[in-house]
Formats: sequence, C-alpha cells, structure tokens
Amino acid sequence: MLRQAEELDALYWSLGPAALRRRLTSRRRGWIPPHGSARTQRLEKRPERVLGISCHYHDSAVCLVENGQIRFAIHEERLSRRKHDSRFPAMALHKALESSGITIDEIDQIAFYEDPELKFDRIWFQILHDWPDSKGLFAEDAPYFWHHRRPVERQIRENYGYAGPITFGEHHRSHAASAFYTSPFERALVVTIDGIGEYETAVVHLGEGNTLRKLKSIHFPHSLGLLYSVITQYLGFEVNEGEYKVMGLAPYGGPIYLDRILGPVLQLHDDGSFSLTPSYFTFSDRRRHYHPRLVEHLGVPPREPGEEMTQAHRDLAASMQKALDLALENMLRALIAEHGITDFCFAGGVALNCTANAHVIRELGIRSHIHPAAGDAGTSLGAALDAVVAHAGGDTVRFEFTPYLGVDYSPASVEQTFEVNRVPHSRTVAVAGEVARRLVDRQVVAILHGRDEWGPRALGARSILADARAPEMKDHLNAKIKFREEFRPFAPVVMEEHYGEYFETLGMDASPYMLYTHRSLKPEETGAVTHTDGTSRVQTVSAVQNPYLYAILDEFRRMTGVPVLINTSFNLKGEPIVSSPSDALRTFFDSGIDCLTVEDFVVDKHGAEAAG
Amino acid sequence: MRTLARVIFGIAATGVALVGFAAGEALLRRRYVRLIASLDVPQDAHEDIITYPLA
Repeated sequence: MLRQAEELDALYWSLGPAALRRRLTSRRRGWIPPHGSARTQRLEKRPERVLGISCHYHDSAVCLVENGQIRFAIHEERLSRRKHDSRFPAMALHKALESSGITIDEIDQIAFYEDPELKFDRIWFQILHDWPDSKGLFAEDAPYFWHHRRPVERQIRENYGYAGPITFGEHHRSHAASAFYTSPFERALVVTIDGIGEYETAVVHLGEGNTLRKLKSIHFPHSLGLLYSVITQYLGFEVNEGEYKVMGLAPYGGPIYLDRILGPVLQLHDDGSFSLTPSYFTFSDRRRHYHPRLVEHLGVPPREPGEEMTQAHRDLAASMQKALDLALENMLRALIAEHGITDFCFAGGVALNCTANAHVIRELGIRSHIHPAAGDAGTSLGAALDAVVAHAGGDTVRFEFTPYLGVDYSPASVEQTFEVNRVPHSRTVAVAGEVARRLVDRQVVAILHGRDEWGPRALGARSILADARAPEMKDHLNAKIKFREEFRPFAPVVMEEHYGEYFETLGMDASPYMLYTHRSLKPEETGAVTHTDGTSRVQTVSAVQNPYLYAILDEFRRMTGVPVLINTSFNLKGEPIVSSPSDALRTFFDSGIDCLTVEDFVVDKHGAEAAG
Repeated sequence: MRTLARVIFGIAATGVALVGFAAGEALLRRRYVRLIASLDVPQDAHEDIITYPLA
C-alpha cells in the first residue's frame, strides 16, 4: 500500500506537461455544438416497467414508470433520514417494488441517469486542468469514484441478482426528459442548467413531439450553478444545501457588487452563452472553491459558518442573484431570437431558483414549465421517461404528473404507530375544520397526508401549516419550530381560484410547485409570507390536486376570509422532510408544533404531554 | 522560400509536440487507471451501499 501511495505521488508529479497541454488547449468557452450520436440506449422491445435511478452524487432517488404511467418516485433521504443522501437508493428501490407489488425480475429495464465512464473521463480532465491543485481529487476522490461509484451496473447485478438490461443516459438529457415529457408543450426549448453533469453545465435541447434533440451546450469549468455554489460557500453556507438561503438573503441587500461579478468573473456573450474566469476558482479543492484572488477582487471578507452576517454579505448575495437573473435572461433572449420559440422547459439545480424563474417570465413573457424535482433527484424520472418514450409511436406522449408519488401509509399502520408509541390521539371526520380552528387560534399544525411529495418542497403532503396573516408568525416558526436563520422567508399556499386576488399570476393559471416568486397583491393580509421585497414563493392548490389541504384552506377562508396559509416543510433544520408517521411523531415532539394530524387522526401536543 | 519552409517546419513541430503530449497523456492515464484499480479503497461505513434490509 505504501509502495502504491509512493507510485501515485510520483505519477501525480509527472503530470506536469500533460496538465500544461490541457490548460493551454482545453478552455472552450461559449456554446459547443453536439458531437457524436446520443448515448441514450434504446432496447429492441418496448419496456413496460422501467426503473429510473439517480445516485452517487447528491440526492439519490428512484422512479418507477409502469404501462405509461409514473407510478412511484421518492428521494432516498426521505426513507434513510439522511439529508441529501447520495448513497445507492436501496430503501427507495425496495419501496418502489413493494408499492407496486412486483419483484426486481419483473422490471424490464433499469435506466441510470448518467454515464459514469464519461464522468470519470471528466474527473481525469479536471485533474489535469487544475494540476497542481487537484491532488486530493487525484489521490482520494478519483480512486473512490473508480471503486465505488463507477461500477453501478455490477453493484445492481451482484446485490439484486438483476439480469435485465441496464442502460445509461446522459446527465443533462435525463434532466431535459424529466421536464419536457411532463410538460404541456408539443414543441419547446428545454434549458437545463446545473453545477456540472458529466462535462456539461448548461444544455439546450429542442423538444418536438416525442424527440429531444441537443442543440448546444456549455462545458465545465464555465458553470452558472458552480458560480452560485461558490458564492454560497463564500457567504458561509453549505454547498448543495445553502443555495436557497442565498436566494432568500438577496432581497435584504442591493446589487452593488454586480459590476465586480458581471464582466471580470462571469462574462455574458451576445450569443446567449456565458463563461467564467477560471483563475478565480479552485473547483478541485474540496475545502474551498474560491481562490484568494476572488476575495481580493470582490473586496468582501468571506463569512465563516455561524459568523455574523454583515450588510456587505447581503449585498453580495443580491449581486449574485442579479447576475444569475441577467445570465438566464441573456441566454433565453438569444434563444428566442434564434428559434422563435417562447415555450420553455427548465430543469437542473438552477431551475429551483424561484427568483430567476420569475424574472425571465416578467422580462421576456415566456411560458415556462418546471417539474418540482428539477434537481438531480429528478433525473431518475427523466431517465425512465426517456427510455419509455424511445419506443413511442407517432402520437405525442406526455405523462400525467402529480407530485404525490411517494409512500402511502394506511390508517391501520398510522393507528398502530400511535399505539406502539403510546401517543394519545383522537379520530375525527371533520379534520379540516379542526385544523382550521387551531390555525385561527394561532396554533402551528403539522399535517401528514397521502403519499410523499416528489422534490425538495413540501407541497401539502408533509407540511407544517400556520396562519399567514400575522407577521410575527414568521419569527415564531423560525425560532421555535424550524430552528433556522431569521432572514428566511416562508411560502404561502393559496386556493387556486383565489390565486390572482392575492398574488401576481405571471400569466399562469396555477403555480402548484412553489417554483416562482410572485409579487404579493395584499401584503397586509399575508404578512407572514411576504418577503422583504414584497414577493412570495407561492403554491396554488386545487380540490383535484390535494383535496385534504384544499379543505383546510377552504375552512380557514370561511372562518377568516383569507384563503392563504403558511406552508413549510415538515422537518427540523438539517433533517429531510418526514415520510412515515413515526418520523412525524419524532419531529412533532422535538419541536414547538402544537398539533399533528395524520390523515384523520389528531394528536394535541399539550394533551399528549399531559398524558405522557 | 526560406520563410515558407520555416512556417511549414513550425507547424509540423507543433503538431508533433501536440501528438506527443496527447500520447504521453494517454499513457499516464492508462497507468493511473491501472494503479487506482489495484488500490484497496475502503468504503466508508456510511457509504456502504445496499446494506439495508430487503424484504
């Protein structure tokens, strides 16, 4: 082992000339046209049951598509209880099979969301490109990837005994398929932007009928997602976790550092593409992704986690958000001019940036579709849908989509959970009225109903609800329930038919997945969910989409005249959203939530504590 | 004529150098892959895949 380590070290230091060549020749900026044929493999026989898997980077997930329907989808973290779990999604896979009553032998195809070989190729590229700062990548990450993440096919075959076909897609194509094949559009431009896939960081596909054709892409190290993550780290938040905190922080500052980002650090080109100045970044350094040159250039001291947030940090967040808004606008403006298409599908982690999503609609008047698991978890769905659509005939195939695709818990299992844990509870047929009454009394109520939501947002299946009228409710929830930063806003849920009365609609009939910031039209009635810039990250709900939550909203409206509630995820800081009734009980008793309803069961905190 | 010869020689030399660099890189990569494939890279306990009970 020592000899191998010495050999590895010697090999590393012999990379110099090759690394130099890569640095001199490989900096391709701007759009890169597609080359070679699409790598998505098509089977000879149409698969009836396809299992999509994404894992080994962040947010592992599994999705089952059966007979042209999306049957099941869940993030591994919901079941393993580890936030952003990137391990092989064994528990999710088990639940997917169990929920459909099938065994793995009955799966016709397993579709993996990306190409691990191509990813290894990029790691090698990165080692050479970032040499000599890439030693950790060379000596630790790449060997780990080679042994434990690349051989995913062998892992599935050895551990599950699966003998059927396993196919590998492309990261951004899987993103694009998840967005386009769940969209209402016959023809649209599909824009996928994230940190990095195999090589690509942003890709434009043209979706027409049952085809997705790659038009062009931007390659690493030029990445909008990575730039946003670098600033996230710069501001003392965790990469891949704190990006939405930067988005929430931005309205508290002004974009005074925009000219130090746009131009010197991030260049926007007339053809809609963008590029970064690589010398400001150290993407291969695991501890810190920004070079001291960036600190010197920005003139803002980086914030360590837990340190005080200064106005300069808020201004930097605002500047980064503005730069992202403008980069996306620049790209879409060029695409509209080139193709004359104003229908867009978005996916990739950047598509979860609600502020940028709303900005481009306001500025360009486009129609937009984003599905709620736009991050890497959603690629499991995309890989599976792509495999199914590859066999579609002439008629356009679109998949009926609901975000409620996870695990369902029967009333018997709920009751058993309460009894095993000796939790006093009651059962009522008028649960909506009971919840609404408590909300009017300024209580905080957690609800668990039906199947888990698909995606990072709580959409009324595993949610904490509270009265949106009282501005002080935000501080109460942040301090006593969620234990999180005071600047973070809460999102409203509104009855779909009252959506236009309370919020700017952005030209949409509904906004069911909390993916856009809408201006509040009655901030005096929705004080707890109106952010400092007068916007809200709205979720609309209809009686068809979620009758349980709709009934609660309707009862609350009858009592108060306001059809809006706070809807925040049912979890504690640093934990995934709850899935099972026992997760719900633990979170309920570890926080200041007043009441828990699981389907039509009601648990009162004060009653339970008095009894137990 | 002499200038033309210099240009041709320059282009050829650059080409040979680039091909040489690329071939060298390919050899290094091959050696690297062989080396890391021979390493016994332990899997973190928490990274241990497929250890959950499967019914």
